[in-house]
Amino acid sequence: MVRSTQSATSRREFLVRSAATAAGTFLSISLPALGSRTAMAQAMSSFTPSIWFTLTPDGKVTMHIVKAEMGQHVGTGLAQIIAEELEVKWDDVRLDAPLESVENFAIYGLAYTVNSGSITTEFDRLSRAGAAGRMALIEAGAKVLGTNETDCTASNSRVTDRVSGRSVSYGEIIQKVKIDRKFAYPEDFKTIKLKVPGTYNIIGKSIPALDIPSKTNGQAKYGIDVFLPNMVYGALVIPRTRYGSKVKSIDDSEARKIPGFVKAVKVDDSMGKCTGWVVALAEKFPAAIRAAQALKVDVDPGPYGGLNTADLFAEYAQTTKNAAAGANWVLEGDVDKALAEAEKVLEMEYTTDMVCHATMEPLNATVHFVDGAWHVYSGTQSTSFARMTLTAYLSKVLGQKPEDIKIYVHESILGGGFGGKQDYDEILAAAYCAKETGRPVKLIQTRESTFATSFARTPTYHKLKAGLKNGQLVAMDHNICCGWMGPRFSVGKKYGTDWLGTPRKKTLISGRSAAATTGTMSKTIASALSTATVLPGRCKPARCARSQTRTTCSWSSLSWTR
Amino acid sequence: MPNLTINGQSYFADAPPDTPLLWVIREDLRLTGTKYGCGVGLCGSCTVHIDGQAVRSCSVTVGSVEGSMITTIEGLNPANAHPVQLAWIESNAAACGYCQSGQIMQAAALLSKNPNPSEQQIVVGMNGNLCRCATYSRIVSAVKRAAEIMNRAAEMTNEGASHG
Repeated sequence: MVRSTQSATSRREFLVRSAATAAGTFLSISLPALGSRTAMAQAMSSFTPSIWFTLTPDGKVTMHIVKAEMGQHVGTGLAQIIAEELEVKWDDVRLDAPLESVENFAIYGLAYTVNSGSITTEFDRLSRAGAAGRMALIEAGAKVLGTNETDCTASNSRVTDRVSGRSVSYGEIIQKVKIDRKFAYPEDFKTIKLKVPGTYNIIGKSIPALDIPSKTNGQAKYGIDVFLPNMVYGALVIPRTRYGSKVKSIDDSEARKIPGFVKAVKVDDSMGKCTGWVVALAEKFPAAIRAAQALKVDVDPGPYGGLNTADLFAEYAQTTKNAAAGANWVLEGDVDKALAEAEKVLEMEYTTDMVCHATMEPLNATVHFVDGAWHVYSGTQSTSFARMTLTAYLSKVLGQKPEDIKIYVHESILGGGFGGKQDYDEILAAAYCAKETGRPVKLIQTRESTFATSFARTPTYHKLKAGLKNGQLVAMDHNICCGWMGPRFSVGKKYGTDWLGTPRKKTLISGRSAAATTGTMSKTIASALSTATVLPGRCKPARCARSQTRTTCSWSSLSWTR
Repeated sequence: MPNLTINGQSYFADAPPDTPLLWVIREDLRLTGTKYGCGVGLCGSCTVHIDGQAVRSCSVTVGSVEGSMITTIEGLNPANAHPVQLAWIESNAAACGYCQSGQIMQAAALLSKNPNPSEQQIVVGMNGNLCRCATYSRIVSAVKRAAEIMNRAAEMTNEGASHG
């Protein structure tokens, strides 16, 4: 991680504040989130303190959704959480998505949508943000009604005095009273009393998803639907290998005959990203596709040029035979002894293939450099990682300090994600083409190039040995080899964003405890493997209850190359 | 310069006649509801109506559809009031939604020919439209619901007519 997320432990405050602007009075709530204290202080002083939602005098509440909308209607779910505690009328709820930037990162934390975790990770803080807003509105509403706040309740976007029965709408409250309510953070924030299951009015209901109507009349805007003035289109010449190709020369003599052809760009791949990429640029996308086909690119396919799937599986099988190569993820009991004592031992090899995520929306990115800032438009699962990766790339390519590079990533609806939109090669290449042309560039990977270059799931090889005694499974030895993302995914330690790390050999997960691993992704994989495997103490199918279990995992550097 | 009639409006397409209709609709006319998925007629994301027929717009050229009535998702009913759109919203049919313009156009064409399709006929009729989110069961339900809405509307119209 490039940023400490736990640096500030001192007492801080969060605010519920109304403000008058040219656009009218609004109520917003801000609270320290995940950024460093310095970044936070800068953000608080220079940024509209509108973090999780904004209430406007017309009574509408716009929820600011940081998670990517890629098919789960996550915005609706997250808005339900806030609305429940804010006691707002559901019909008044709207959604929008904050821009990703250094400033907003300091406020919202990492914008990253993966692992089906958005509701569970956001539930607590969004509930508390909604509740804090409600408390501030009740206090202000009591002032408007000329009564005691303890006599007031909130529901359906109104504050009501239980004694007199009089009420006032949220919209009216923020027009009549200036709200500037401070809560100590985290003390006050953590002690806010939340509703409990069984008392919910909005959570747990099957509410029509707010994003659907725009998807049934053609109005929803995906990353691929972005248009900018003077934009040029890019189509990729599919590289010979997914990793490690080098462009030797480009002959554009045929491409130049295509009307609308602009130029061929050899993308800077010195960082190990977009290796061997050449982009054909044209005034229209069909011309860009034709130009990409017409370009004659001489490529050195690099060290993986001759590799095929059979080579991968042969290497995986070989790797599993090398005891020193693997790390034990699960080790319960004495598996070798149990196997030796078994009445019958069954052995089997299993494989899974490389699988492309195959989102219906092919990979694409639009990048525009204007007024000293890079604007990125792309349906990505992490606008934050997109910004960080592009920062590292541009820093290398332009020879500028990362802090001097200003990037804004505009969140778009994703036409599917499935884990396949957390690689940023299109963005880097589009940015490089924008630098080369001085124009906004929309790079659309065709279906073919999406299949050829996307960050597919690794093939896996499994060698399983089972020991049986008295009809019971007494031992299981599961030896796995698969690919590691390696240098293509990680942008490299020397650029300051080596968040991936390298898998450390010999990691042991026994029972419920996981030994420390190197790198976030190692932990994620360890945790996925530990839950996916028969793990005594966590998962106990009856027939495996007495089995001795060992799961060994090793990685091959060959995967994700071709 | 081919002359196209799309959603009731006439356009001169600034594109060679062999350009796929899809790219003129999307990139020139900016009617982005019609989606690019595969470019070779295999996924159905780009489905539009040409003279009432559901057609993959990536696989027809602009030169071949001069004089035809072309309808895109934007022209079906902008207010989401077409029975298929109503049913889609009611059934929460869309997930990521990228394929759904094509699904809806396919379903609307199917129902215009067969107002009471069986489940089997729906599955066959929608077969060429892929959904990576796998909303297929919801799509089948939504098509059935759309048929109900259409038929109910037709009954009401008939009742209205019989009552003068």
